[in-house]
Amino acid sequence: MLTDLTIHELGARFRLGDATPTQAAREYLARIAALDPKVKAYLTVTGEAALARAAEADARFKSGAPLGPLDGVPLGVKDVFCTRGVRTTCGSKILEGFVPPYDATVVARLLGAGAVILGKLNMDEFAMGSSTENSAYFTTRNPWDLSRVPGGSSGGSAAAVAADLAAATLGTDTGGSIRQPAAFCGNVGLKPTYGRVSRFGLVAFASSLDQVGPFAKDVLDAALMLQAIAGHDPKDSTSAAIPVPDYAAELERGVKGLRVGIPAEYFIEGLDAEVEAAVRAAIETLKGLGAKIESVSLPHTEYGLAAYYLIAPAECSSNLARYDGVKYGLRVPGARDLIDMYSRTRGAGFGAEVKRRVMLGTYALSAGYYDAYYGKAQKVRTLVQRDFQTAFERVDVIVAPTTPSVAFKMGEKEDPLSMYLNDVFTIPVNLAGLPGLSVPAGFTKAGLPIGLQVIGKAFDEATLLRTAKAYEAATTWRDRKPGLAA
Amino acid sequence: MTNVMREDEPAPSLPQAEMLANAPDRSGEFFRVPKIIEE
Repeated sequence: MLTDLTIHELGARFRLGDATPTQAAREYLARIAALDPKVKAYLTVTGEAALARAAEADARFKSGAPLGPLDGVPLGVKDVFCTRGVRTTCGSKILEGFVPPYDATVVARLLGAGAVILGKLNMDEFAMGSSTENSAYFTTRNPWDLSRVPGGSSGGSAAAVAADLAAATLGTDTGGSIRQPAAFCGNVGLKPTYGRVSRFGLVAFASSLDQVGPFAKDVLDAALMLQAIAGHDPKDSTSAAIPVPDYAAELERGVKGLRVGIPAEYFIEGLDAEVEAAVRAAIETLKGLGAKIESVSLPHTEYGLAAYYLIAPAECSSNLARYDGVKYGLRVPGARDLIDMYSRTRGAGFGAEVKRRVMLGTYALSAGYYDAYYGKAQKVRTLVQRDFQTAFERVDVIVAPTTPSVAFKMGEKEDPLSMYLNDVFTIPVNLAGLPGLSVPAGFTKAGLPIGLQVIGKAFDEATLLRTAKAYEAATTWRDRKPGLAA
Repeated sequence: MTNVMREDEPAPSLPQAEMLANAPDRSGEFFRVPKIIEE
């Protein structure tokens, strides 16, 4: 089956003429039709457009002039990216029926590389959540156990890769929304450095934290996806004009002599015993491959979550002010005046978690409270950044668990605070603007995936990827697939 | 800290009709909203 293959394996078949992009697209669309009613990863499937683009790729391979490693490869994108002519909901009722007039830069880059986009993937509303249970449409299921969540907010993107419903996907990570679902679904998820990838056409949640990145079946695929989307974009002034290295070329350099830091603050009470055992075994594997393991301290880790839940809501309360029922999206009729129209529209269009964060953020930014909450949180953020700076004077990468536990049952975490704790190990990386990656590091006895997090220096995704690649090559976790019968 | 500046070069915008196409209510080339001014 072509749907089993990685991007690089599929590309090799295309180049040899053993398979065509149209065959791959048809197999993926058939598998989506058969299995997605169970997994519920896709909000929108764009089958016709996918087959048209696959036919164009067929012609390029036939004439011996493919565009590159993504040419003809079937991919999916989180429904947070604007797609020209294709409904973009952000998992929210307030954007139901919104059809963007332009493509996000990352989408345009994938299309420019010849990729075949299969559709748009489910997510927690406006990327706020850790399970996709906050999607206004439905909850995506974890392919390893359909009674469990896939993680979030990019849960559809992670589940689609795990269930072979796309060769790779794009998601976004504001506090862990790529790495946590990648860990829960057993795939490679990469959150690049803040500024590495353009956010033009990405629906904003928290602008000082949001970053775009890939989900992939293996580390090489993650490198190929990052290669396609990374780099400066004149349309996003926060994207950095820093050269993009050849990520695939540096992948095989190994970890011999690499200094790997282990932060004591990430092995705390509340960390699941099976997760801890898997992560400690992974550290031993890296040591066996020649890495130098050192203890590091990130003393302000425990304050990261509290700072994040002031900064992210504050920024979201400002960003989400644009959903006013005037320019696009939902408008609830029957209002007496403009203010009443805003209230009715936002009251009906937003879900409970989005309202909670807009209210928290508005409060934290209000006159008289700004310094006590938002100002204080920004100071904590600086302390978290300095922790990493100090640690990276001694080590090249930091290795830790991605999440404190494995995928939980749907409906299990009703209290918002217990849901927020999912991101305790991923949030500090966003606060510091650093790159972070989750790579499969084994399974629990019950057969649920465990993720190993690798954190790097700013704009040093190459070292993250080569660390993950060395670990992946020394283990066999990737051979296991979820048992999904059609 | 330094400012990063670029040349101020005119570039095409999206067509007005496309930008208005998603509006829940409009009048000609304007967005239409409920009454703002109180009696």
